[in-house]
Amino acid sequence: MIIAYFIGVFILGCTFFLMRRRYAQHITAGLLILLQWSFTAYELYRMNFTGFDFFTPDELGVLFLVILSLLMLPAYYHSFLYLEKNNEQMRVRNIYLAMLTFFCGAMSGVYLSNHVGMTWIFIELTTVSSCMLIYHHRSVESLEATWKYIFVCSVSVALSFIGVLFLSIAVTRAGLEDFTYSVLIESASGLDPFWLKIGFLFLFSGYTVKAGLFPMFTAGVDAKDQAPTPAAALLATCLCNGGFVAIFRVFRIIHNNEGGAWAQKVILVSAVLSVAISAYYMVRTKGYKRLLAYSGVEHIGLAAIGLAMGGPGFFAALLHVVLHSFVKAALFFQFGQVSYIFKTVNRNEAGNYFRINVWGGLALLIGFFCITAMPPSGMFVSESLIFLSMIDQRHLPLMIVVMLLLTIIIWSLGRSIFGLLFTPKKSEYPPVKRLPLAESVSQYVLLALVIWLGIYPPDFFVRFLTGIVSQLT
Amino acid sequence: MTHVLLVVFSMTLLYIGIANRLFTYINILILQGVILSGVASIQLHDMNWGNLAFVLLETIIFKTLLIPMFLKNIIRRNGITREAEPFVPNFVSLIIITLMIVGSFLGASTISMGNLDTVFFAVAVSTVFVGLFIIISRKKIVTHVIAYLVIENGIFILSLAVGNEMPMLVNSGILLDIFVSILVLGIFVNKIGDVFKESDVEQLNQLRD
Repeated sequence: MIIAYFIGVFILGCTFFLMRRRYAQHITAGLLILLQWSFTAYELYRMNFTGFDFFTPDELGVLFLVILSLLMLPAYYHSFLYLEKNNEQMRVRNIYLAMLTFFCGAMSGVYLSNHVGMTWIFIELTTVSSCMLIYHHRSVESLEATWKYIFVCSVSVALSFIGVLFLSIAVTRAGLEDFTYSVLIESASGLDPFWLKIGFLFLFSGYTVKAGLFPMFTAGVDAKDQAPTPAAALLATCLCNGGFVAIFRVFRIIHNNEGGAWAQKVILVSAVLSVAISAYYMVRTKGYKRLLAYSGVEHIGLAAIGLAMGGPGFFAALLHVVLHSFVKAALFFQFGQVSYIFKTVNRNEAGNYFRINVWGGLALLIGFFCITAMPPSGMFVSESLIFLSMIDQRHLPLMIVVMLLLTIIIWSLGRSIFGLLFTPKKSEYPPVKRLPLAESVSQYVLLALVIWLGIYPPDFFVRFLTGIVSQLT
Repeated sequence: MTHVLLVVFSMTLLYIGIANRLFTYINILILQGVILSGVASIQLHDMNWGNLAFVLLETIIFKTLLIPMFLKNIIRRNGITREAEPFVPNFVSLIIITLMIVGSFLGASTISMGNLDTVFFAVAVSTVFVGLFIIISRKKIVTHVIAYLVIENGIFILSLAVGNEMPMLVNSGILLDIFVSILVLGIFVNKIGDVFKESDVEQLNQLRD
């Protein structure tokens, strides 16, 4: 089935290149989403069956596959809106839609692969398929962002391949043949801790380029700044989740080994530095999209702190990443409207948004409360769980530092977003057509999902998360 | 025999540190590809026929023919200045690269390797570090791509040392990825060459906070 899925995605992606009519693109995108959803339903139904040796739909993979499938529908909807509003040429549309399709297929592969090498291949494929999305505007800035993104990704993915090789030294020493995560997790205690640690270090620092954590986060920020907002929404959510899944799977191996505590220290250093750096840059940056990208660095950093703490922290980290995906996607879709109205995402030029677009402004306001984890938001639950686990592990001074950094982050987010909503930065803005409510519906749905999942989580969702966490202890 | 080849390989790293012209860099890449195909054919003699043919194909066709030709084509097409223009003097690079090689050999000899070959390990690690050093110390974008290929060569040596049991399918996927990434990198070097007069990293400073 998974092979059929990849072939289907590939064929649908290729057909985008041949299109001359808009309705044909809409139909193909509809077919693609149908394929994605039926595939997700199938994998949910066949949980934990290995398909084609390398792919196993375990709880972790399926959870993020469901998130990708949920976000794909608004992403394609907003992509069509974006292409229509910018009046793009047919060729540019075709390239964009085809690459978006390949990108989604590659991310599904990252989530579901059960083989260390396979994860690596699909991570590399996400780089290759996202380059044309970032280069969409064909401007000097987007060229720079694309070049930096591809180059930093290639080098860090090469570093993570060194990690794969070191891991394979540990594996062959233990006399194992198989290189799948499930086997490695079972026999983790018999692996040589030295090689496992080095392997983890390289794999972790390589995959941080996708997750958006400390050493390699820079390229991702530029990419999310330059990509069209619907694509940036997927880059900032599903791709970060992909990097997180890849790190989480390797972490699961080392956690069952005596090197687990050491790995948690490595993650903690990277996570706290991520939060600190994002706080620094969020004060400095002028662009709203860059602000959102740095806020992604902060949130994945917080989730990584949860991983480093252990215990309830694992659950909190997963919940945080899931909720962050919905909030960040909603905000990026909303900033698509902002950049359409003001033709810029610069903090000093766009303003008075609430007057110009009431429904969009309201979505932005709710989005602000969700992203800063104020109480109705589900992220309040996950963040407080992370802080509770820090208290559990007696990291009180560190917790105070992180909380101070979060205060700075909330201040700079509030300054930017409230400035955008209520302060007129210029005396007059060029008149634009009033945007219909329909374009903001997806944002409201996603934000409502965040509040619902955090405040009143349904049983199956909690069961899913506890199922993933139970394999860690 | 493999050790002799590997020592020659680490000498090419020293040569890359003092090379002045871009074409010298590419010729060094070709030489490295030839050495690697030799090492691979000796090291993997008891591997099955198909896999061996595949690895040799990769080293000879890709590393010594296609990619260098592609890079030379890029340099000609964009009229890139033939000088490498490093940020640091060649003498300093030579010293740093020497220290890297010596350091990796010393480091490798202190780790208990078991059945792993120390020379392989040390040469691989030093190649990766030299590649990273070339990236940060050279100004041209093409030299960055070349340094990325040097890192890939280091990884290739490491994978020979490990002799890993990864299946053929994964191997071919990895090869495909490297090929595609080089292609994509090349395409964007061309784009950068079209947009900017000089393809230096100093042109790429629009995006910052």
